[in-house]
Amino acid sequence: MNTDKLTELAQLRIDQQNSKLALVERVEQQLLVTHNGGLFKSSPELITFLVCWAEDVMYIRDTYNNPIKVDRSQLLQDCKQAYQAAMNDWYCEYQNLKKQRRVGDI
Amino acid sequence: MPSCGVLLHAFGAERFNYYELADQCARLIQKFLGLPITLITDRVPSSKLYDKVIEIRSNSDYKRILCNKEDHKSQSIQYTYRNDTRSLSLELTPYDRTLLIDSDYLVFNDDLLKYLTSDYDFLCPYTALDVSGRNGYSGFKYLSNAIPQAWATVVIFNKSEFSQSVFEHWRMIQQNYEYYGALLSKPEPFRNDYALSLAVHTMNGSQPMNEKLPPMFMSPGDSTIELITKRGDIVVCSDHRIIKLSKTNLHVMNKLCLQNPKIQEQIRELSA
Repeated sequence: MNTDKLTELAQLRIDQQNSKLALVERVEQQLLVTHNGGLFKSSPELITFLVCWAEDVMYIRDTYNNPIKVDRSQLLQDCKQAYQAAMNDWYCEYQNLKKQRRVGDI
Repeated sequence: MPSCGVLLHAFGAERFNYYELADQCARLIQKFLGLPITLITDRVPSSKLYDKVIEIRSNSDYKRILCNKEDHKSQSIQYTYRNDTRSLSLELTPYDRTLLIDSDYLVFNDDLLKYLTSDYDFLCPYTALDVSGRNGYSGFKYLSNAIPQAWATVVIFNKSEFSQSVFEHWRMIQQNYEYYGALLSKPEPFRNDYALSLAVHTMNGSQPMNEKLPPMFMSPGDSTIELITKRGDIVVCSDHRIIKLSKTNLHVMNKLCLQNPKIQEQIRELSA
């Protein structure tokens, strides 16, 4: 490989890395769900917690550290939806980025 | 049911056509947020993108220099920075809950709706992420090493007592900026980001706000938007680096690239 090719490959890695970092930030925002005025981040922990709890009405701390009264099944449904959508998007975009072989492909 | 909508400000600024930028911003808002839009401006718009237009005169004559890139050539552009009407937003908004955004902030998803439906009185971002990966905004964390720097680019507020107090203080800082600028060691022309940071911090009992909007992506003035696809992918070129963003809201500091007919057409196609 000549120097130009090596430079191009190194640049491609930088560009891919920047795009991946931007993607991660975007996914973080997609994971958010509003419920009863509070804001929750959909995560495997929260989903599992909601599945395990028996009562339908409960109080959970939201992302701003405020207690919110929630309808467990509704929040569970919203969280699962947001999580699935965010992960699907992330996976597709990540696969697209991985496929790039030249800077121009990005 | 409380009303909810978007507020944009657009005033002429020589080479920067904020009227056109506001039109593009409005197209994307209609597409991704589907909310009514009110424009605060000094000129009746030719487009039918706005539900309400409020005509008002800007009294600002600050000159600001911004480094922008056009055709891959950097230029320092001096323009009149007409930013004095933003602090009147709460007074002027027709909505109970308002999303105030800069006309150079491009919306590519519906994430902001989540914050609009939350119960929080006043939300704004405190972190700006440089899409170029150069961490160009890492120095914008605190004013005078004490007050967290907020960004007035995207603000969500209702008409609560807290929001009213923030806007009133914001206006007071603006009217007495000579004093407050010296206090903050920011004696440059008035900037809404500084006034907002100080106003929110003070009205929150001189402590950082707990509730904030997520980090905001910013494309610096020397970066150009090369392509916007119909899928909502944005390709940014910065310092010979190419960054691809997908369905990501973006504050574009290079206004000239937003005035590029090719980019304007791509935004039209995406928002159609």
